[in-house]
Amino acid sequence: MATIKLDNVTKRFRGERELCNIYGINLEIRDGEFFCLIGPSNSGKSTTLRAIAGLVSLDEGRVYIDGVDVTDLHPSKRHLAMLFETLALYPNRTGYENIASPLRTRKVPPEEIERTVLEVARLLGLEHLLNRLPETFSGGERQRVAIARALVQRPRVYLLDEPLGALDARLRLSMRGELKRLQRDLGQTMVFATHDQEQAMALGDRIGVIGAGVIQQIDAPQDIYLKPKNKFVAKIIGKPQMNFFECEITDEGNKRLLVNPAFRIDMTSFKPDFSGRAKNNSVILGIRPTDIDISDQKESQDWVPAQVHISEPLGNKQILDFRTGDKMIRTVVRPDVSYELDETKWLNFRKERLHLFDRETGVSIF
Amino acid sequence: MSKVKLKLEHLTKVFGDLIAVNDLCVDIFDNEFVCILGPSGCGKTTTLNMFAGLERPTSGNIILDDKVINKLPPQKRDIGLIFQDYALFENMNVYENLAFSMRVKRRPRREVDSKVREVAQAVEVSHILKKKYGSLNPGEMQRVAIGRTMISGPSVFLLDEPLDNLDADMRVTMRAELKRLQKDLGKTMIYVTHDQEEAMSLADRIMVMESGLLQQMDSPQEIYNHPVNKFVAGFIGTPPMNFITCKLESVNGKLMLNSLKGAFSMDVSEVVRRLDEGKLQNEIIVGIRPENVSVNIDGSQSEKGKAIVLRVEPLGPELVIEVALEGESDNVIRVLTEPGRIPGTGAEIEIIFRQDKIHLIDPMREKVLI
Repeated sequence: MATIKLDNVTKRFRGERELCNIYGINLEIRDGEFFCLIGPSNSGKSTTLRAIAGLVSLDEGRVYIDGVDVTDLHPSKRHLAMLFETLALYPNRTGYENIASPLRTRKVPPEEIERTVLEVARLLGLEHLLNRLPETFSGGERQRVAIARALVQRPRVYLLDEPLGALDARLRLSMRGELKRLQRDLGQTMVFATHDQEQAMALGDRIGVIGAGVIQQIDAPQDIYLKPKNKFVAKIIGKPQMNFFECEITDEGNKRLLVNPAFRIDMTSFKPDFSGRAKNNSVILGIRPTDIDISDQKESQDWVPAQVHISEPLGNKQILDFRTGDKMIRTVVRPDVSYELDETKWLNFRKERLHLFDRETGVSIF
Repeated sequence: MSKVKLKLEHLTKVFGDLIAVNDLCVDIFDNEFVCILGPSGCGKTTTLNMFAGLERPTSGNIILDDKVINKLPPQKRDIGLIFQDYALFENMNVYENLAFSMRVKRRPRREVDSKVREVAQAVEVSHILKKKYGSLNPGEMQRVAIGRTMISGPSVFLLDEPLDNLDADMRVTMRAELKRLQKDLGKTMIYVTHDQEEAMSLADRIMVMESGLLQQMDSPQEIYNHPVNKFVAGFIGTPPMNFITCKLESVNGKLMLNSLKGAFSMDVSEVVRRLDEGKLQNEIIVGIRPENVSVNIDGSQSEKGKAIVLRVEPLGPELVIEVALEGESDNVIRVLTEPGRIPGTGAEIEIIFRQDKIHLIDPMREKVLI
């Protein structure tokens, strides 16, 4: 049981820099929460986890666990378990000894070690691996043994740094299910760093998006997806990626338009009123591939003409790429529609699903 | 119908006591984009290496344009291989990279120049000929790599997981570009991958392999909708197909499919009518894709189909709900639906299978019957 709080945490690496700097990180992680930290590589995820674990010294800010300031506490005294992407199991020790190793270091009595290891092995279905060496384990089994080794320590918090990164797609899918169920059963706080938006969306009770060492947004998965606070968040969450177009907000007579060389969209009746919220009225329009309608004819002035570039079937849906001028527009549609290459179609960006970002700052203007 | 470009006749490759490729009989047509798909160790790379001439078949024939090419050395085959890392020179510009193989062969300068410009135009890199290869973006690199192989004029291109080391967003963009480029060039391409989504998105037809054997060869949509066996059904599609072992029982003249402990039951009289009775067994595996299971989150109206929510994954435009049949906690079923109301963990909901979308699978031979 544990809450975590990072209060204005800054870490600048000097000289040889292995990790990304972080600046003014404020984070409150609730008790029993599955918290996902997502960002591209070198965005500060690992540094943040290490700041919680106490593996890096901070330049500024404090770290609290259960309300107690642990900033100056040695990592071993924080009662956290950290799991890295590279699952360093001891190759010459059996599954049992690998799981038992943190307890042996702590000089736990042998009977207790045995009881704990067997209990955790049963929980994770690892009994058959206890007498075998890691070289005989599959990817998923290695993963589970590494998790078991973290579990026996009975930590207050689990910190996981891309723990599913090395697994193939199918295994990743099933392991993430197991991980979430395990976390729920244990009821313990987990902080999970990943660059994979699908993993973050699937696992997180809440997601923290981090970029360039700064927290960009913290929210529940569906809220982040529907209301990204800036273009960085909009781009990293959702697959295929959101489409972006540079536009000007222009008033003509009593009409308010979004204008781009390829289209003019009437936003007169759009709420809220966003005029004057972007510098020079220069914005970036964002629209997700799933929020675009396709038609054979121009159904209103807002519809955008575009040529079919390529279609990619994916079974239960298809990705359909269109060209308009030199821009590509990616859409996701039903699997059973089929068009000729280079055929002209009309596209409609659903207005209630539009995003507008200030072109200079990238910040959402409504 | 296009003409056959590459024909495999009983192609087999044995390493010691391992049959890596087992009696492959396949026709690949001119201008076709074929993906060879399978998990690691399925024989896909060995097959590609035999096309390229890097491995000699143990038995059987590879026939290119009606000529057996089994014993032809790689450079004499009308086949160009594009490696995973492209193997181009970072410090040379695009022009020099494209010209390299012709210069090594000491072709006349004018011939080299006109060929390079022709190919550069085809793969749309004419505007960056003077740029260093190392400074290009991944899309440009891919086009240069294909251009470099085109220079020697092969009629078939082989690609070995070329998108493997790109990040997820770039992969989606690159595969769209590659697919369009192949349509524009009109060349036969054979592409090896372990990634089912990549194979689905790129291929005109997919060759699914497992344990050295061809499992199925069809268009992506055909394979998705009509897999021939349990392996293909489970390998293609994400989230993967659900499999539930059921008993087939006759009740009051209706044929009912019941899960082993009876938590799930459906009338399949209509579905089974299409089947030859002789093929039916008492125990049968039901396969159903997650998008073909619907849920009633206000709970079950009837006695059957009750399920408990284990986990919910909101994925943005989609919602994955993982449920267990009531009293059958090992029967976990994934449902793919639209994000509307989201049920909580532990909630009791009703699941309904779309009758016209279920597959029935013979548990012994793992053949898909419907």
